[in-house]
Amino acid sequence: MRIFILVFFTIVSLYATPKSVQIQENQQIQTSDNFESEFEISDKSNATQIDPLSGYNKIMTNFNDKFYIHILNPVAKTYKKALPKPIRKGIDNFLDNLMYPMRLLNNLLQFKFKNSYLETQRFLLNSTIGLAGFIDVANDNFHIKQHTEDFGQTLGYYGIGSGFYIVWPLLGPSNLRDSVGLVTDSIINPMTYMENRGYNLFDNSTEALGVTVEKTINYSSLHVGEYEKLKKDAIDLYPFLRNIYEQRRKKEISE
Amino acid sequence: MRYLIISLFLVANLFALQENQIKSYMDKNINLVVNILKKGKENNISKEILSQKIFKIFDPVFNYKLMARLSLGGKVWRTLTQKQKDEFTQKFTKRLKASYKSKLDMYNGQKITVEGIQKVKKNRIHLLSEIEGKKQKYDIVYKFYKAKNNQWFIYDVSVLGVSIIQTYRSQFSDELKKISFDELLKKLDKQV
Repeated sequence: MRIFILVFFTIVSLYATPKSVQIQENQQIQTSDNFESEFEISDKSNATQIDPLSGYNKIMTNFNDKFYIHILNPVAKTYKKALPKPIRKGIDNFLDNLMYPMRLLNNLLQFKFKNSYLETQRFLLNSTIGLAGFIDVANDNFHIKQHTEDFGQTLGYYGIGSGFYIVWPLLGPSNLRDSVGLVTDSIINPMTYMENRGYNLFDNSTEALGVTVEKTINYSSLHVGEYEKLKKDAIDLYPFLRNIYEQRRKKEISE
Repeated sequence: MRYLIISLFLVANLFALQENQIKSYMDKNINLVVNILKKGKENNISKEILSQKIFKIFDPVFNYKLMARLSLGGKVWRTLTQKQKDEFTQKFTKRLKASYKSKLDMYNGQKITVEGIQKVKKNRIHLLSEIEGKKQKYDIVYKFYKAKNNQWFIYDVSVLGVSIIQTYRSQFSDELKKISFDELLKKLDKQV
């Protein structure tokens, strides 16, 4: 009987713990507050603090949002209906494969030799067995994942800070460092047209622009609805996108 | 005496997530969720029902109250009345869940794996998991903290390096420069 009572009391007292634990837990949170410092570090490192272009940026965020919803998205949806998915996927793979020089160079600049090697393998496999890049055989059959790096990340790798936040028309969120990166990458990118460059895939900048437009529409057709889903989470679109961009880039650079 | 030990064991297991159980617990429950989602897809089950099942699994380890407080930041939190705190917590939690629910239909049979745990501090553990994507892998990190009685709870989740709490923090602090707290509460309601 004594044992029974003991067991009974133990169970009762243990069942009662969750409530008391919660109260204690809250007290502990109130007093020893190291959570705040954990997030404050990121609050400060985010471009939240210094945003000299915020006036312009907000207008541009709004413009890009409207452009996406009212122009790009409807076009991408029509395009999606017109072309079957395997073809759109193929075009995406093909154009992505051509970005290999950018990925290779930036991997090398960051001393990521293994990834440089994997990227080269991907390029060789996809350009040959993958029918000029239309099929991503490297991933589908050899399970070699893409290791993309851009010049903004390379600059970050060498310790260059992000600088203030900039929203570009049509291109979207960026910052000072990544804008320099964008320009540099476009010089390497064979899909842009530059008169004095040794290699050009296209004869003039109109053709190059056409391909960029096609690339954008094709890409959007494979990701219809994603932006809208993300946007739903925003209480205020501008700080929302700015914060996501900064956090994401920081992570990409650290990898 | 034997009963005592057995009952002690059972009860303790029911309530507290201990450090050495985090990985297996999450492994097991993420698998459960994946199965729920897969079955949901096959049988066309509504997001409402699916999300309820999933929240039932994960609610015991999420400290929503703390998440709400962290999203707002201590400075603002301290100025609020108890009623405001409760209202905010309730609305924030609702919003967080609604946001999760709205994304359930993006699941398309992708493999989700638990990669391991990382003890970043004495009282912080990150559980690393990955979703297999087409070209790349996408990482999701569940951040745990140690509460009293050696229990562990989740206080933040980051997706592709983007901390959910951090994203809310930057929005709330931006908003509160322009509007009052009560207006913010209304705004939280409106968009769910």
